[in-house]
Amino acid sequence: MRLTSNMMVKNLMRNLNNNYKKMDRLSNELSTGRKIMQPSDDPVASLRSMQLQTVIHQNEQYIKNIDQAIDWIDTSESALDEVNSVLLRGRELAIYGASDTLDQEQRDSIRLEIEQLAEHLVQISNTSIGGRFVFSGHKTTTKPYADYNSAYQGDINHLGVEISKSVSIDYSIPGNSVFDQAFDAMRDMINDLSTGNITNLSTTTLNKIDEASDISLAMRSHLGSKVKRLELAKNRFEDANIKHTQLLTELENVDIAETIMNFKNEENVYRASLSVGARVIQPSLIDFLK
Amino acid sequence: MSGMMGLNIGVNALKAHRRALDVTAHNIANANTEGYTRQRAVLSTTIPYTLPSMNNRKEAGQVGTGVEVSQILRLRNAFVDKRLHDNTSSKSEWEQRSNALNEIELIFGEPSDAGLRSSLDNFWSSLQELQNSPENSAVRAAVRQSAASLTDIFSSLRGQLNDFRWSLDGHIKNKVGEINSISHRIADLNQQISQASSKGDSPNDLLDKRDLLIDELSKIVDIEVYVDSRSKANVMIGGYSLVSGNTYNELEIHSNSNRDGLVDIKWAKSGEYLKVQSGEIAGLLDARDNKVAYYVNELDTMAQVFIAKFNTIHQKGYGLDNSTGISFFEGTNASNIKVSDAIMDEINGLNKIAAASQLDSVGDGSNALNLSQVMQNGVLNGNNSTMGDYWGGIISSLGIDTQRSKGMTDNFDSITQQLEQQRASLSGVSLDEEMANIIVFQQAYNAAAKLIQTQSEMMDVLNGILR
Repeated sequence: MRLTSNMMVKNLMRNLNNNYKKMDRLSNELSTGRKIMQPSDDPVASLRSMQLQTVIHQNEQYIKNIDQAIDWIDTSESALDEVNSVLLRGRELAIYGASDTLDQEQRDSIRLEIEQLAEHLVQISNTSIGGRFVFSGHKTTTKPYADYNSAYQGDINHLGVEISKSVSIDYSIPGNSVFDQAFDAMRDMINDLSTGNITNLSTTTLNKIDEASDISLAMRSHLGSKVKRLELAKNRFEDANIKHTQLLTELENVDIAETIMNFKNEENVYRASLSVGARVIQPSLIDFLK
Repeated sequence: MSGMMGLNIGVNALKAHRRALDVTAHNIANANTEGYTRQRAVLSTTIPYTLPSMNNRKEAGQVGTGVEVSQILRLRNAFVDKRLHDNTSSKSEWEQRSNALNEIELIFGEPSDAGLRSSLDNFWSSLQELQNSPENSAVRAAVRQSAASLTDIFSSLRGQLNDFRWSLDGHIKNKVGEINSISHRIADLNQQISQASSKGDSPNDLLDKRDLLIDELSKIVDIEVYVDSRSKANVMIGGYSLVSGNTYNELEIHSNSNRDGLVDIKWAKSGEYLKVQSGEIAGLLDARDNKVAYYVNELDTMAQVFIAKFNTIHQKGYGLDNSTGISFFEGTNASNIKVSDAIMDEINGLNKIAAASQLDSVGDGSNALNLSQVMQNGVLNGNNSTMGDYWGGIISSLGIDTQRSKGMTDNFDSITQQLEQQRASLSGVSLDEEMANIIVFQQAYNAAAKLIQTQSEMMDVLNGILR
């Protein structure tokens, strides 16, 4: 093959250019910290990274959903706790008031305390989170009970939330299932005390109080079991996201040490080709003809 | 046989080597001229002189009469040229295709935190939040906002693809203009070349110019070149004659009203469509009519299906104001998708977002959940792919397509480089070689001069006898 100096220069320029491109690519990777700039850099990894980003995003949202549901349940649980203690106090007062040694005046003062308890129960039933009534079913902007004599204003629906793909969980309790019984028992107590019907107070009404208390306890443990399930799901998402984020980092991000090594390598090649080029293209026969 | 003949040989040798030195000088002068082909003075003996005799001669018979430059040879290999043209066409075609795909990659801008994927994800989570707090107007505003971002992304991607299609179209128009200009110049050169060669000259430099034009042409479009007996280059594209001798056929562009006014390329004379196999034009046409059109279509499909599915579910739900049957999105494709006027309404729009599945259920977010599932359920590709999957598929196939085009470009590029090396190996000027030739010719010239001097001295001897 016949070689001319122009061919050598051309080859040299092309090789220098190739080396320069490689260095540019690596320096880009180093300065952005990313391996994949465009899908064509690695189509499979690009797809994988897009999928992972979506999964991570979704898991984060599910964690938010779960947190919100847990918050709601926590609030409901402590409300139910209070319901229970109100009912317990009511029960004590009912037993005390049912004693035939008391006169009507004393019963009236007990009745007044029961009325206070009933008012307190109304307050509990109107528990809200950020302006949303916890015990109104779907009618979260409507107070479930205006007072202990009024009827339930909410509806009987449960609030639900998606806690992972296509899995939803109910997290609310419609107030009527707890408070209707409780208010009924309170009203009967007030009625029995004001009419002095201690026989009814110590039998039927006391049973009602116990039933209402049982219901609130049952609801509380029902919610408690959901919290466990939600926390398990949340932990799973958090674990998954740690793994996914790590995977994403491996896919997208540059291994700095390795890239610096490669860059150094390319730089050496580039320098070598520059110095060889400078030697090769300089001399010609002209330099030796005198 | 006279004493003058030796003198004559000397003079011819002087002349021939001067001419050879001229050719060397021309080579050196054009060492860096693009398209220049190395030339060589072919030295050959002149017709020998036969000593007259009746039968056999007693002396040697034929006597040489010296040297002449019989032709100035142009060192060029037509076979390498042809292969180079074919490869250049293919390389340019893939280069254009790969550039176009690369541009589409840049337009789509994935994988990133600001592309269609992340917009879909954000819209999804805003709907999930709506499920959590359907009565909250700030959450509703966030849903509307992220829906607007999503439609913006759709229409911006579609708009950028459309702009790109028009810039490809403009590029095609320019290339057609270039073909016309080059074919005109080739036809002119054909005329000059055939005139010169009919006089028996070899118009080397004109041939170089023509070959350079043919090289340029092969970049734009795939060509067949045939040089006829009168040294005229006839050029054909897809079996249709572009340059025939001194005449050339023009190409015309027609904007096609059936395709938004994009241009078609036709032969001016016959009105037939230009048929191309490769070259820049083929790459540009493929990018404009297949690649970009494909991605526009995919975006439109996604937008269209999304609008329909989303609205169907939205219409089943109830807003805070108990409104139902409202469309959330309007439009039919990626270019005209937008959030509906009813939802965008400043006073009551947010209340019309149908988060609830029942009347009078402000706290019910179950329809918001159903809406969010439009992005999690298979809605495309025969209900097998989610929006995100489908988009991921588009991006990865775009990546693979681009990667392949880059690979093909590189392949053809290295073949082209190899062929260019082959061509340069034969046709390129080597300064070392020319320098060596200078010395060879100079010494021959000196020797010829010495010959004349010797002849002259011999004549002087003869003249001295007469004195």
